[in-house]
Amino acid sequence: MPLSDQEKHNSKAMETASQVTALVNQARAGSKTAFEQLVDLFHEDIFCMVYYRTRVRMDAEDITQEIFLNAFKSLSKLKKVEQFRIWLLKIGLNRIRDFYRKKKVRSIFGAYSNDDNIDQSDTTNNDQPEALNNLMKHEFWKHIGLLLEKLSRMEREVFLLRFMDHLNIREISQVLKSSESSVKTHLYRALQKFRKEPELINLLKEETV
Amino acid sequence: MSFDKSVHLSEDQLLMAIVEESDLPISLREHLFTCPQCRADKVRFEHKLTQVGRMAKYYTPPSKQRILLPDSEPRSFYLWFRGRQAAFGLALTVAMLILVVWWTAPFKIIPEGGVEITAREMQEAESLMTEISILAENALPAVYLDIIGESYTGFDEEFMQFIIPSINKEPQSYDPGTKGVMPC
Repeated sequence: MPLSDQEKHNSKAMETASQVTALVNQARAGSKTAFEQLVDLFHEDIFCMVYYRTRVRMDAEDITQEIFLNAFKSLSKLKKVEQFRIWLLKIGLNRIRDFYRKKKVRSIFGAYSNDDNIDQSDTTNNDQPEALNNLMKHEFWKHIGLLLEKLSRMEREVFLLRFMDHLNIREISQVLKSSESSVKTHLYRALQKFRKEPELINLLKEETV
Repeated sequence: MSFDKSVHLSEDQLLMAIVEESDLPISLREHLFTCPQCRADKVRFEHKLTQVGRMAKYYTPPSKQRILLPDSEPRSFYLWFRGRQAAFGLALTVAMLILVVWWTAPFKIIPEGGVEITAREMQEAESLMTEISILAENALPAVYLDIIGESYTGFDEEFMQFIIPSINKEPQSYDPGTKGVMPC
């Protein structure tokens, strides 16, 4: 009997999980190659996770580098090998918090401009389809930024982890060291605010990504 | 809990269902399961949320930087220090500040020593004892001493004799017929 799509997906996830566990164990034993394989597996996820929160490519790249370096240094401190991804996300959130703290200090001394947070590095191409795409990209991140500004810190984190990083409630509670009921409450409040963003919802209607 | 099956889920209840469907009361869950309209509303909202994630991923530029890991085992002290550069800098600044203040105004901040305190206390005790002995000798203030004639003790025998003459001796001069005292 052939396997259904869900079963195939589950078996692939289990395979990946066991592969990750094996690699983490090898890396803990001192294998740099194993850690490099882990980097290959999680690099994109972590970079995206950082980009969703900074919305500047170069900052996201630097922070991603820091996250993996930090993970490499403190891999021996990881207690549950099977929770490597959760642990990596925790490191990521801490690094992002540090980044914003430093940015705030720098902005006090006028060394950092806070005016334009949205990445402009890839939006200089004036080709017609590219320009339209860049415009849509700019609009999308602008509206996401406006929505996130209206959320409290916890609501923002829960919303991003749930719908952008695709974590379930239990995983979110582990990353944020919070109870599941608290996560659900914050998610509910975040959704209420999301619902009151007609421009963002209209943008989603227009999009056919 | 009784629930009218013809009444659809409110927007808040739909949000609750999106957060965690199993947290809804059984009656609402049953309604959601059987009502195509509520089911469609929920799916539509969930689709928007899924689209947020999909678009976010689509509009995220690819990372151009390769992750670099250190070749050898990290030098623990160096890394430990690197992570605490700011704290060390702050501590050094505070230490320098304290040193400068100490150096420029040493006498202002040196507390009185034990010897000085003892000497001052002894001096105070001595002056107190002097006051007490004066009071023990004569407790009256100076003005009262004047009134009672205790303040001046320089009267000699001759003056006293003049004030209060001795009765044994003859009067030096006394003439009842004339006024006043006649010198001899």
